[in-house]
Amino acid sequence: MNRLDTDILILGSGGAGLFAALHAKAGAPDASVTVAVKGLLGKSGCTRMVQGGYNVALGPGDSVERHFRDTVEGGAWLNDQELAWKLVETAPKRVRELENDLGCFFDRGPDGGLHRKAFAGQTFDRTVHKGDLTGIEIIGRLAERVWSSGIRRLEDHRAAALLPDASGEALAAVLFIDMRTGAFVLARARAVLLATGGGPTLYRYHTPSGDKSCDGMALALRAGLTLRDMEMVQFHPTGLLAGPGTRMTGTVLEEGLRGSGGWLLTGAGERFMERTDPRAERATRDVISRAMIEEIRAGRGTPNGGLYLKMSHLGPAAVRARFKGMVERCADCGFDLAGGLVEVIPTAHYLMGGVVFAPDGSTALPGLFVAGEDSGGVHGGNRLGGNGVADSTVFGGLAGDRMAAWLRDAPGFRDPDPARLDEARARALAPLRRPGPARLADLRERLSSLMWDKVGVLRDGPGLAAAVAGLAELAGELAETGAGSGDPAFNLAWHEWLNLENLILAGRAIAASALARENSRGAHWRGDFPGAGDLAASRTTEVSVQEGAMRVALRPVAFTRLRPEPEPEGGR
Amino acid sequence: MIVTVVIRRGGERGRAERVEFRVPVSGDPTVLDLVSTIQRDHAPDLGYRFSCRVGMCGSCAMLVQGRPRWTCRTRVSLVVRRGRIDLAPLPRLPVVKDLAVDMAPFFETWTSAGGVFRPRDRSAQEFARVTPGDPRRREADAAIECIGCAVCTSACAMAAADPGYAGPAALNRVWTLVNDERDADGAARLAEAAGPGGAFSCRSHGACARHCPKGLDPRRSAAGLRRAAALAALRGRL
Amino acid sequence: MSPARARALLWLARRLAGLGLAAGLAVHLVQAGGGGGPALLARLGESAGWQAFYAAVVGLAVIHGGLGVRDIWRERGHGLAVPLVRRRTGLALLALVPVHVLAALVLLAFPALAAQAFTLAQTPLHRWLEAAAVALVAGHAFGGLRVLALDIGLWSRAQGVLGWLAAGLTAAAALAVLV
Repeated sequence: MNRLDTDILILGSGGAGLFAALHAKAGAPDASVTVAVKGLLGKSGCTRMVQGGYNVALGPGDSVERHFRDTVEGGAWLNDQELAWKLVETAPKRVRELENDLGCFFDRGPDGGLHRKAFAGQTFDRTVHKGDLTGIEIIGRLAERVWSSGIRRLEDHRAAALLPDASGEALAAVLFIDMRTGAFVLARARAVLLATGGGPTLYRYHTPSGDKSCDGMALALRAGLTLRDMEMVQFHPTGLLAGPGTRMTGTVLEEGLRGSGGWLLTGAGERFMERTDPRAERATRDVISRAMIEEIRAGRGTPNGGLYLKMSHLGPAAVRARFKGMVERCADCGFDLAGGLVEVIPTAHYLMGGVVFAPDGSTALPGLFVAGEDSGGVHGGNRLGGNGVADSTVFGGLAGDRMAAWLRDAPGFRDPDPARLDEARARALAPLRRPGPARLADLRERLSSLMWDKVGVLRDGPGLAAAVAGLAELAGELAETGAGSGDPAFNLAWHEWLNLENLILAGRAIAASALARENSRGAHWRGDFPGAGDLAASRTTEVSVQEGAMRVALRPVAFTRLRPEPEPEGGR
Repeated sequence: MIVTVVIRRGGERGRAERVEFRVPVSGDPTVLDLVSTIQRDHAPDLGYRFSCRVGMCGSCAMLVQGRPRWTCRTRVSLVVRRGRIDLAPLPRLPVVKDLAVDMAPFFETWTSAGGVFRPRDRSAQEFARVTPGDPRRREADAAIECIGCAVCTSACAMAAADPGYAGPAALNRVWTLVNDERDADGAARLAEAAGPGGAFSCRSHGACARHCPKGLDPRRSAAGLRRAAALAALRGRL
Repeated sequence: MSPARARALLWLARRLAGLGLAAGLAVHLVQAGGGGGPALLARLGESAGWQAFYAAVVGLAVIHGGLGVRDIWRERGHGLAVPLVRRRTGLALLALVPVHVLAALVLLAFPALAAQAFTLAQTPLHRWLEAAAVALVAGHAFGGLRVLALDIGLWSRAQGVLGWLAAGLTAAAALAVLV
C-alpha cells in the first residue's frame, strides 16, 4: 500500500474543490495542497455542465437582502439562514474573483456591463452567465490556474474511506484506490475537504455526470456524520428522453427554454401547465415536475412515456441563436429543438441535502470540511436555478480559507486507527473475491426504477416504506454479488460495485428522510401529506447511520434573519 | 443489426492487441453507448472513460475509425462502415488501459505554452467594460468555447511529427488571451507564441478545424498569432 | 534581435515574397502562354524594364525558396511528415525553376538555338511536361495564396472552399496549356 502525506487534501475537482485548492494555497503558500479526483481533474463532475448561470446581487436595484429572501422563499423556509446569508453575501466577491483574477468572461450587455438574465423563482434578473455554457468557462479557468499553481493532483483516485485516528475524535487520513493500478493509497492529511458533488444518479432519469455516485455522502455516513434534508431531491422538468439504450437520456435542457416562452405539451399536443399554475411553464421546477408526472401517470404522455417540449412558435432561427449548444445536442440525438418537438421527462438533478456544516466549511468531525453539493442546508427544500454554482464556488473558497487557517493551529499528521483501516480495505476488496459482474447491471436497473417509482417526484407513505424495504434488499443482494476476480487495474466492474454500494446507502438516507417528513415542502411532495404544514414550525430532517440502521431526527429551523409570513402562498 | 467492434486493447503503446466484439445494436445509440454495452455484457475489464456523456467534458474522446471524436455525441449509424467500427485510444498520450488515456501531458503543454490567464489587477472591484461588438472580444469569443478535449491535437499532423509543438488547442487558447484586454502581458505572450514550437510551426494544414467537435478553428487562431507577432515585430514590440 | 522577432520577420519575408511571386508569375504566364515564348524572349533581349522585372521575380524566388528550404531543413526530422501540397510542389519547383531559368538564359545568350527550341516545344511530350510544370507552380501558388488569405484574416471561414477553388484554378491553368 502506498502512503503519502499532504497538509491539505481535497476530494473532488469541481467548483468547490478547485476554489478550495486555490484559496488554501493562497492562504498557506508553503503547505502541500493535493486535489484527488475519481477521473481527470477539471473534466469530471457537474460544475462544468452548468448551463444556466450564476446568481449574484450586483445590479442596481438588486440587493443581497433581496437575493437572500428569494433563496429562503425558494427553499420553502427550510434553509439554514446563516448559510444562505453567507452564500448571497459572498457571491459578489466570488464573481469579481472569477472575472478579474481567474479570467472568466461573462456575457456583456450592449452597454458593456455584465449581462444578467432572468431565471425562474427570483424577483430580480440577477443571473450572470456565459452563453448557455457558463460551467465550462468557470471550470476551464479554474483548472488552468490549478495546473499552474503547484497544487498536487491525484487523478483516477477514488476515495474509499474517511479514517479517523484511534481516538475517533479527528480525521487522520483518507484511504484511496488508485484506479490505474488497483492499489490502495493511504493519504494522511491535516485537513480534508469533502467536495465530491453528491449527484442523484441513482434515479432512472438523472442529469449528473455518470461518474458521480454520492461517494462523499456515503463516506460521511459511514464516518458517523449527520446529513440533513436528504429527502430534498430536485427534479429538473426538462430532461431529454432519448430512449433507454442511450446515456444521453436524462441530460438537462436548460431552464431558459421555458423562461423564454417554451411550451410543454401532452402526447396529444396540448398545453397543460396553464391548468395547474398561473405562471404556466415559468413556475418553479418542483411545481412543473409534479404537474408533468401527473400528466404522464394519467396516460397523457408520449409513446416513450414523457411529454413534448415545443420551441418552434418562438421562431426557429431565434431559438437556434440563443440556445446554440442545446440545439446541437438535440440534433445529435435526432431531435429538432428549434423547429420540432423534443421528448422530455423530469430528471433527478441535484441533492439539496447533505453533510451538516458551518459557514466556514467545518463539520462535526475535526479536520473534515465540506463544500458544494455534498453539503446540506444552504438551499433548504429547493434550490434556485443559478444558486448551485454560486454555492460550490462560494463555500469552496471559504473552506479553502478556513483550512489554511486551520493548519496554523492543527497538530501534525495523525495515524489512522489500524482497525478501521483494515476494515475499510477488506470491505473495498471483498467484491473482487466474489463472482458476478454480470449482475451489476440488473442491480443498477432495479435501484434506478425503485427510486424513480417510489422516491421520485410524487411520493406517498406506502411507496416510501416499500422503497426502504427494497433498498435494504438491494443492499443484501449487492453484498452477495461481486465484480469477478479480474485484474484490479482500472477495473470498471469493481468501481461499479463500489458505486452501487454508495448509491444504495445514499438512497436509504433519502428514503428514510422522506418517510420522516410528513408534509409536502419544496421538492418533497407526498400524496398522503399534501399540505405544507405550519411554516413557522418548520423542521428539517437529520439522518445518520447508527448500528447499521438509518436514524432520522427532526430539528426545528432557526429563523435567524427572516421569519415566514403567517399566510403561505399556495403552491410553494 | 450486429456491429463488429474492433478495440485496440492493452496497457502500453507498444504492446497492444486488437480484439473483436460482435454486438447487437438497436435504436440509435452513440459509440459511447456501444462501448458501455461491451464493457457491461462482454468484457467487464474493458477500460474506457466517460463523465458528462453530453459533449461538455471531452473525457470520452478516442479514435473512431481512425479519427478522433467524442464518442458520446457520435452515433453508431453515422460512423459504421460495412458493419465494422474500429476504436483506439487517443494517440501520443500515455495509455492507462485500453481506451482510457492519461491527459496530463496535454494539459502540461497547454500550461507551459502560456494557456493561463494572468490578471492585470486581480483585486479589481469593477468589471471590465467590453461592448459585444468589440473586435478583439469577438476574436476571443470565436475561440473561447474550447473544452480541452484534445481532439484537435490528436488530429494534427504537425503535433504527430514534432513532440515540441504546442499544438492547436494550446495556441487557440493563447490567441484568446492575446485578445483579452484584462490579461496582462500581451507582449510576453506573443513572444512565447512566436517561440520554438509555437504558432510559426503551424502549417495551416487544417485537420484541427476539420475535427473540432465544437466547430472551432485553431488554424485561424494560430494564423492570428502569426499576424499579431509579425505586426509587433514590425513595430519593434516583439 | 530576439529569436521570436527574427522568426516573425523571416515568416513575413517569405509570405510577402510569395505574394510578389504570385503576381509576377501571373504576368509571366500571360506573356509566355499561347505561343508567346519567342516574343517574350525578344522583349527580354531589348527592354531593360523587362529585364529588371524578371530579375526581381528571380530574386523573390530565391528568397521565397531559400526560406522554404530553411524551414524544411530545420524540421528535417519530420519535415515532410506533414502532408502539405505546398511543400511537395515547392521541392519539385526547387529542381524545376533553376532549369527553366537556365534554359531561358541560354536561349537569350544564343538566339540561334531559339528557333529549334520552340519547335521542340510544340511536341506533345513537351506540352504535357509544360502542363505538369504549370500545375506544379499553379498548385503551389494558389495553395500559398489560400494560406496567405488565412494569415491576413481574410475569408477565414471559407478555407475549405478556397482549397477547392485553388485546385480548380490549378487544373484550369494546366488545361490551358494543353489546349
